[in-house]
Amino acid sequence: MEALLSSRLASAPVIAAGAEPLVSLRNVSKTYGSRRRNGADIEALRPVDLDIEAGEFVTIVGPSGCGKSTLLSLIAGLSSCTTGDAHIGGGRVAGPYTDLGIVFQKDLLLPWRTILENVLIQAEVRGLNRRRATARAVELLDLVGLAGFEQFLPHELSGGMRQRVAICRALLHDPPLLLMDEPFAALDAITRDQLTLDFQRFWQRDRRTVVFITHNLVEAVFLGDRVVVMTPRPGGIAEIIGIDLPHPRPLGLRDTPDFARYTARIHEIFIKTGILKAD
Amino acid sequence: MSIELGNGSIASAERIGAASPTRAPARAPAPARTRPRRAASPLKRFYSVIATVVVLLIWQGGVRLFAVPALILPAPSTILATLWVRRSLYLAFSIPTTVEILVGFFIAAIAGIFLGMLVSFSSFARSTFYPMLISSQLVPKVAIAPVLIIWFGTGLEAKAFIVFLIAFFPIMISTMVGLEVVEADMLKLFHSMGASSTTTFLKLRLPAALPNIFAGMKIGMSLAVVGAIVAEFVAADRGLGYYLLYANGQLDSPGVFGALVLLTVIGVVLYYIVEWSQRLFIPAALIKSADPTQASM
Repeated sequence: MEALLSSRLASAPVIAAGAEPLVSLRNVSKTYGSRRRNGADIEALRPVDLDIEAGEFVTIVGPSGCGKSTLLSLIAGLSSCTTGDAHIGGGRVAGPYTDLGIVFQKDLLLPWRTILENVLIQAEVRGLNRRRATARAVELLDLVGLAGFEQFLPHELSGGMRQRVAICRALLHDPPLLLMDEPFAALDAITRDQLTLDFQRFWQRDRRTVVFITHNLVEAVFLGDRVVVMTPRPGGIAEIIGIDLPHPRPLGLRDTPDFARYTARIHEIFIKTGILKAD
Repeated sequence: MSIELGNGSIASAERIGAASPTRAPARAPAPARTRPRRAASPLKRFYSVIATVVVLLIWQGGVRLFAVPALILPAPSTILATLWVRRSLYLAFSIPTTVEILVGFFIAAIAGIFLGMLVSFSSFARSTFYPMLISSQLVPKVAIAPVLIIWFGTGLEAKAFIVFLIAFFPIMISTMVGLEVVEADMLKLFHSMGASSTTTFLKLRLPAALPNIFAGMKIGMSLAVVGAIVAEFVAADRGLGYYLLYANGQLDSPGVFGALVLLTVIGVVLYYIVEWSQRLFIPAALIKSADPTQASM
């Protein structure tokens, strides 16, 4: 663990407080051309402005189809902005931005590779030093409680374990930015709680910048320093709510009035924007 | 190209622990990797052998009981005796047929995989060659066999070519399908790692396509046997297909059945060679046990 932290400090530039945000979106929007002839273009994301500071945990919450994943793709440069620009670390994102890690809803492990080899795919594709990468992969797997499973194949592990492997893979190259697209949505409720707690603990020591997409507003409030609440399609940002609760947050916090005030606020926004229909 | 071999042992997730693994307080106990594969019950392994023996016994008994003439249906014992008596002739005729199958199949495998990749990656190839390849399959191979004999003569070339024509199509199609099965998010993941298209192909698309490619090769191998016989029916002076026609002309049913038995054996052996070579590339645990493709003749 110490080695991981120090390697992080050594390789990633520490951005002083008050410096430029790590991620900066200006007037970013996405419109897809209609597949049908004479069909109207589909606006997936209305123009959005968003700054994310280094070391911040930002959650983005909204219903399905509100453009959350589009927003993530635009940050990662996996699709191009129709208007506006995304900047990471001061540079404009043009084409896939590689100095980040991504975790998707599906674990996307390669079924023919062992757990260790699945984590190492990151190093192979990037051409990193194999020996050092292996050492780090073993450390990371140990950190998420998967020591001893290195030589297993993905189908031999449970869904929660596989998603932990996916997180290790996203962190192998020690990226300054971690993007997570509903990473725990496919897991059962108990496993999800456990992973949420574990991930929070990891993040607290690591303080990596995280952009975390979810449709679960409890998860959004529980993990986020700030919660970006989206409007329904075509998505835009309805409101950004700062969560003033100290980390680490215990599970029981979810049942406190302080916590409930935040979720109630998001419910209010959902009702106002028509995501939820009140009686 | 190296595709990692996985350890084939099957572990059930339940055995590893509860469905939701907790952060190990100390260290998850390293699970043993030496569990034996779930073995079928010993009797079950011989079900197919027992069934075959029963069928042969009924066949033998029926032929004897009703005194069926050997011309209509020779008894298994008669077929075996014929095989033994004419063993050198059968051996001599098995070799050219096997060579035709193998040569045609290898060309079909290489061309099928190559064309599948080409059509899958190049929209130009898809719009120009693909329709031609499809229509090539709609031409009955038996019908063009005489033309091929005129072009290539009655030697190995024409027969291997017919084998190739019959066998390459399923290999090409399954290669195409296999290369397309990769999920969109998986490609995004590789993009975000900065993977080149070559890297994506070697580390993602090709290994993901292997099960499909091998399924296609198994079908192709089954069809290759048919192709060789069709070719020999049209024009040949040796081979098991040629002998089938010859023995049939002589009303020598035991001879015909002897050739059929050998063809079946050759087909099954070649099929299982493909099946077995698949295990060199794909971890055994990932190969679907229920495979609809069967050696046929």
